[in-house]
This record gives sequence, C-alpha cells and structure tokens, in this order.
Amino acid sequence: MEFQIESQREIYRAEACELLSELETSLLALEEDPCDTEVIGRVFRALHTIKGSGAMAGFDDIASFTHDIENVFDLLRNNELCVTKTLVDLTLQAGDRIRSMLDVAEGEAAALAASATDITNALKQLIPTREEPAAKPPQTQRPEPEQQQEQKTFRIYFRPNPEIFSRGANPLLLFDELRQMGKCTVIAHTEAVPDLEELDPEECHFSWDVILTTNRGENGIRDVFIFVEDDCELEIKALDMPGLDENGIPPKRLGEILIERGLVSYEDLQKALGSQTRLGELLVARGVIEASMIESSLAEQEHLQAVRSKHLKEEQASSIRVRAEKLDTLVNLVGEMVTVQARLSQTAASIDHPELMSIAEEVEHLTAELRDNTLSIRMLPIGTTFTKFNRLVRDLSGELGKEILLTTDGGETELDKTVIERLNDPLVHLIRNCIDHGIEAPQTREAAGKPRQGTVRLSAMHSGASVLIRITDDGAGLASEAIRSKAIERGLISADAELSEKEIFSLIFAPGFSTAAKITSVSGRGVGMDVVKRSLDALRGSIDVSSRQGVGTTITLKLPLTLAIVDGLLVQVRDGRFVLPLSTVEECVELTREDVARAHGRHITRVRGEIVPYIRLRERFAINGERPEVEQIVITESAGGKVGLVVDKVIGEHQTVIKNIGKVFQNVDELSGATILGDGTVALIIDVHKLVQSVEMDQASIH
Amino acid sequence: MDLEMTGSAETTILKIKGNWTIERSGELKPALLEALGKSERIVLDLEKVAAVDISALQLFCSAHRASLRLGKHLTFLEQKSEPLKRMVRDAGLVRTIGCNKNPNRNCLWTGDWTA
Amino acid sequence: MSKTIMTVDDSASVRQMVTFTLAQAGYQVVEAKDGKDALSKLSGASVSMVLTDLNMPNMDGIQLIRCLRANPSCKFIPIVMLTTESQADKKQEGKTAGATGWIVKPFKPDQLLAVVKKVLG
Repeated sequence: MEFQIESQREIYRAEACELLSELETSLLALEEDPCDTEVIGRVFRALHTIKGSGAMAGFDDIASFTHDIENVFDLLRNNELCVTKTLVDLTLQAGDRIRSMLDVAEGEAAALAASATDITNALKQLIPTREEPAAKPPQTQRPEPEQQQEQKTFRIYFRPNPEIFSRGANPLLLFDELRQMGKCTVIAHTEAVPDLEELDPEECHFSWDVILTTNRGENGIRDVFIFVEDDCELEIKALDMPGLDENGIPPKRLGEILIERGLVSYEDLQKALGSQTRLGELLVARGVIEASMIESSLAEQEHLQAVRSKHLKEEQASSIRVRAEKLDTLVNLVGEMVTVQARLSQTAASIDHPELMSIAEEVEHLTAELRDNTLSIRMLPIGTTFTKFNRLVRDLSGELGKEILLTTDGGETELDKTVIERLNDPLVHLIRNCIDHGIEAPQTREAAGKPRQGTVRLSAMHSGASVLIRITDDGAGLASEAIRSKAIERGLISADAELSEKEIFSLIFAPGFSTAAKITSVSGRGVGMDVVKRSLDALRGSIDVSSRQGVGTTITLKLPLTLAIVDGLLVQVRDGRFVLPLSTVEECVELTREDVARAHGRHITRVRGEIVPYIRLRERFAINGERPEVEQIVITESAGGKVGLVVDKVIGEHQTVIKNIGKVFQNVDELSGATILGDGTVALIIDVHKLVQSVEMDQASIH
Repeated sequence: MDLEMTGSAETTILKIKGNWTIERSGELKPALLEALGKSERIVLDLEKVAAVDISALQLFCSAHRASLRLGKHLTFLEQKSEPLKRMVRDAGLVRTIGCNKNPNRNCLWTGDWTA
Repeated sequence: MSKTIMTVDDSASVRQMVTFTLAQAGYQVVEAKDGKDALSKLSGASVSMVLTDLNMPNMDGIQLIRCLRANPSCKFIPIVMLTTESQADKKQEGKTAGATGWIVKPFKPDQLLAVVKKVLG
C-alpha cells in the first residue's frame, strides 16, 4: 500500500505539472482577451482538478491553497468579477507556488503554504464586498462519527419517487443497509399499485414501513437514504419505549398502535373488538385498514417488546450475580453479630464501664447499619414480577374473550428476594382467579353499565415492617350466598352456621373450594386459593379479602419485608421470655386484679371503651407460678381483630434474628422460631396470628 | 424462451424462467396481460425464476389486482424458486392477512415464503 | 462473475486511485477520460455502474449522465458523480439528469467502496 500511495503521488505530480502549464497558457490568453469565457472555464477546471486530485493524493496543503484561488475564478465564471492584470499576476504567482509545493517533502510544503497567505490575502482583496466564506477544510464524505447510541426502535415510512428505478436506485439495497444496522422488519404497502392495464412497469408504486431497532440514531438512518432523500417521502419516527420502567407499564397493544398512527379510529376499534376474532383480521375484513398496515403495526409491537426485554436483561447485567447461599450466609453472620452486639451492650451496662459503654454504643450503631445494608442486598423491586403478569393477563383475557387492562402501581417497592420468588405462584393464582371469576364478559359488563374493559390493579406499598400487595378488580365481586351454599355443600360449615361476610369470604381459602360454574382451562379446578393461603402462611404473611357484589374484589396480601430478622417486643412470663413481632403489636396496657374481677371470669378487658378479648400466655403455655399483681396486656392486631396477650412483664423492643427451632417444636404452630438474647438465653417467637387461631379452635371445640 | 404459455380453456399456465429485472419489465407486462385475457384461472409458474426485483413483484401484484377486477383467479404455482422467495421476504411483501381488496382475503403474498 | 464499473475522469491520478481501489475489491474497471471517451467505450461493453467526474473537457459529466439514461442498456444502472462541496448546484443538476448518487472529493478508498456497495449492492 505504501508503494501505492507513493506511486499515486508521483502520478499526481506529473498531472499537476501538466495542469500548471495549461494554467499558465490559459492565463496568458486571458490577459489578451479578458472576456473569453471558454478560457475562464479552462482555468477554473485546471484549478479544480489540481485541488480535487491534490486532496485525494494527500497534498492537502495544495488543495486548501488552490481552493482559495478557485473561489476567485468561480466568481469570474459567474461574471461577479472582472479579469484584471493584478489578478492574472497573482494567479501566475500562485501557480509557481503550487509548483514548488509539489517538489518539496510534506512538512516543508506546510511551511510554504503558510507563507503563501500573502497571495491568498491579496486575492481576497480583489473580491469586492462579498463576505469571505470561512475557509472550510475540505469536507470528507461522512463527517459524522459513528456514535454508539442507545438502542431505539424507529418507524421509517419510505415512499420513493415513482421514477426511482430510472435513477439507478434500488430500494432493496437501502433495506439491506438498514438490516445491517440492527433488527429490521420491512413491510411493503401495495395498495397504490395500479391495475395492470395502467401500470407503467418502469415505475415504482410500492411504499414501505421499516421498523428498525438500532443504536445508530436517526442520523444514521438518514445517511442510508442520503441519495434519495430529496426525492421521496421519508418519515423517521423514534418510537417511545413503553414498559421500560419497573412499574411494568404494558407494551403497546396493536389497537393502541393503530390508533396512535391514525390508521383506525377509536370507534372502529371498539366495533371490531365487539366480536372475538383477532383484531387485525377483523379490521381488514371490515375494510377499515390495509393488511400491510396491520403487518407493520404488529412488527412494531414485536420490536418494542424485544427492545424491552433486552433492556431488562441489560439492567440485570449491570449487577453482579451472587449465589443466594452466599447471601444467606452473610445474613446469618450478621444475625450472630446482632446477637453478640446485644450481649456486649448488656455487659457494658451491667459492669457500668463508661468507656466500654460508649464502644458498645458505637458497635450497636454500626451493627444496625450493617444489618440494614445486608438485608437490602437481598431486596428486589417487585416491579419485575409485576411486569410478567402483563403477558398472563393478555393471554388469558384473549383466551376467555374478555377485555382486561392490567395496571400496576408501586413496582419500586422492595421485598426480600425469597419472598418475591415464592410470591410468584400465589400471585398467578390470584390474578387467574380475578380474570376468570372476577371480571365479567364484555357484554355482561356493558349490560351492567360498566365499561367493556375490566381493570385489574396490582399495587404494592410499604406498611411498617410489612409490604401490602393488593389485587383489585372491578368485576362481579364475590357472591357471599353462593360461597356459603357451596361451603355447606362441601361440608366446610354447618347449614346453620352464622358467619360474618368476612368469614364467608375467607372460606374461599378452604381446601377443595371452588364456585366456578364450570371448569375452565384457566381456573376452577378447586385448587388455587388454598394453595395461595398456604404459600402465604409459609412466608409469614396474611391474606385478606374484601368484596362488594357488582363492584369488585380486593385481595390484600400482607408480607414481611424480610424473613431473616424481625423487630420484636420482648416479654416475660415468669422466667420464660417470648418475642412478639412488633408489626402485630398495637399497644401495651396494664391488667390489674380489679380489671380481672370486673370481667367475671371472662377473658375480656376494656381498652378505651372497646372490648378486647385476651389470651393469658401463662395459661396457654402452662407456666406455673403466681401471677404478678399487675399484669401487662400486649394488644395485637391480627386478621380477626384486636386480641390481647397477657404477660408478666414487657421488657422492650428487641431486634430478633430468627433461628429455626428444632424438630421437637415442629408441630407447634404458635411458635414461628426462636432467638438468642443478649445474655445467651433463648426466647421463643410467637406467631400471634396462629396463636389466636388455635385458641379460637380450642374454644370452638369446647362449646 | 423465458416465457412459456400453456394450458386449457379454463387454466392458463404462464411459466416464467430466468432473470426478470427492471430492464425486462416492459416484456413481462404484455405477457401477464395476455395470460389474464385467456382464461378464468391463471397460474404463474415461478419455479425456475432466477432473479427478480421489485419491478417484477409489482407486476405480479398488479396482475393479481386486475384478476380480482375481472373476477378471475390468479395464483402462483406452489413451487417457487429460492431467489424469488428471498426477494419476496426482503421486499417485505409476506402477509399473514390478505389485502382487503380480495373478498377471500388470500392474496398472492400470504402463505409460506420461508426458505 | 465480477461486475464491471466504468470510471470517467479527466484527472489521471483520480482514475488511477479509483481503478486501484475497485480492482482491489474485486471489480473489473474500465477507464475513460471524458464523456465522449466513456460513450465510445460503452458501446459494446456492458457495465454495471458508472462513476463520473462532472468537470471534464469535451463532454462533461452532466451531459454524459443524460446520454446514459437515454440509452436503454444504461437506463437503470447506478451512476455516481464525483463532486466537490463547492458544486452544490452541479450536484442538483446531476441528480436531475439522473445520477443515482454522489461522492464528494476528496474521498478515501473505503468511502468510495462504501458508496459503490450502497448503490450496486
């Protein structure tokens, strides 16, 4: 190649010398007859070639120097300037200068060019009033650097001039270029093609939609069309990317795309949606729209979804993958640390050593921070799980001929990874149920004066140490009578049982319960809700249903933020200590002997006018010994309402690292685990909800 | 030759072979017109087509349009050459739903165009 | 079968550079020094593409493009003109005459190849 460049410079030198002598001859002729346009043209052409070829052969200095002289002759050509003796003299001098620039090595040529400014300046003075256009450096073909931009999807509409073929251009080559830029779908529109009789076969009547996902940006796309741009209809539109946020806004649906493109009116769409064939076929069948438009819109949809999933993958790529076990180990270690720290604080306080106490305090501070950070590593936004349900809702609603919009809220709410993973199946069950049993068919909804499209709302929010996940639909609501009679039929309750509405609703979580009139492929096999309930129990969560017939149903899942550590309230009964999850604790009140006497043996007390039943832990756990004069009631709030737990003493808040308790206690539902206290003793963690339930069951069996 | 017309009173088969790019579009149009005039059913045999470009595809599309107007039936022979299939895919003509000018909703471009 | 490209330029150094670049990329090249030369060399030979300068003695590029488009065997082939940025009006004239595209002088070998690939495939 080196040889090639040198030989090209050689050829240029020879060529330029020839051109320079021609220039001289022409200039002398011009002095004789300053108006000979033919000669002016020759001078211009010579200069032009010296410049053009010079730049190509690597004589950039010559090129830029000649450019200035050429400009003057361009003016002459256009009769904006007259030939004068000064001009001819200067140009002859310029020719000599070029000749010397040809003969020297590259570096020296630059010096010569710099000294040549006297000539160019003098020439510029000849140019009358006109502003000197800033001497631009010779432009290269594509000045734009290849920028790596973000992946974006573009909709390109391209309608070539019908005469495109007789300009030697081939649209297919343009598409090939676009294909090299990224994922590309080409859709031809044929509706403008005339009938065979009228068709000029040398004209092009196709137009195209190209959906392109690329990182080259709009300018990169325009570059492809650079030769035909002025001579065609070209629209390049960047499509906004729906569903990129973790809130899981659904990707655009075909209908939305068609309306947004102005291809179909909302009314047409609604009419078409009335029946249950596929939307695209339907619109074409009605003659509302061309098939190619549907293809194009579908391609757009596909591209956007692909980009979306790619973005999600990239999001994941920006983090490190760590084996879950490693995190578990870390959390366990932090747990131990918390325990040791508690002992340290306790010891420091007991020996009353001020210096040690201040260290202990610092350690306490750091440990708390370490705990929060460690736990947050395991936290993930629930949005990714939410996003998955878009597809589920879309597919199911299609299958069942229902129109359903899924909206999500609070996708940024974070939950422990394990909780999120184990939450997936229950949520699928619940959403399936919503769609199958909850949302009515479009006709039914219309008849009931509701919008055709049903809405399922999925939301997540923090509530203390818990996260609430709500699935709300605006469907038919639960039919409490139907549930009741089904429950009787299934032998779940006796025919004369008196149940509140809430209790009736909770029957749907009983094993083997299903009210669906017929079994569909979606749900109705009677498995599901009881499984949901069990899964949530395993997560130390709870489930709550509220519903109004004809208006809709809300199912609320309450989940702990994390499974490893809870904030608890440490209480004491004789010398046994227990932890109550702080999230269930409302308040603590005293229970005096007088209060007990006033209740006439019933386990109830009054808290600010409200009657609250209580459970005495001492009795429940069969702990011997005298009750203290004044006992404490810890008022807890659980699914069934307020219940008090009577203990001897409330010690205080305690950060509890949950330890599994041994197999011996496996069947003791009331206990969810154990924790090690600062002094090394063990405290049992009470599952308040289960405790209340089991007491209720025992009482029911007694009655 | 590259164009061969055979068939009965009911069906005309137009066999198109070789290269059919823009330079020859002026030849292709009269052949298609002639085939359309001959019978109720017209089958375009493109099994041996070597090269086609947009101009040829446009002619087929236009002929199909004319056949609908005339109440005739114009189709491609099931076997198609690979270059043709590729060109149809590259030009973005493949359709899952036929165009709305056709009452039966099956146009020339529905069907299998994969390699 | 390699495609034949004709390069038309009155500058020998430009022709040489174009020929060398295209030959390296596997094309056959026919050289012509102006429009007239090009037309005479075209009769008989079949070329897939023409690269032409605009400013040439005898017959300039614009005229050459008009002649080529009027010739049935060249009506649909890609024609790329070599222009300089100071020739905006010339470029327009060339497009009107039927040029497929253009390349701005000075250009580098890969820019030339990119344009050839763009219009010739």
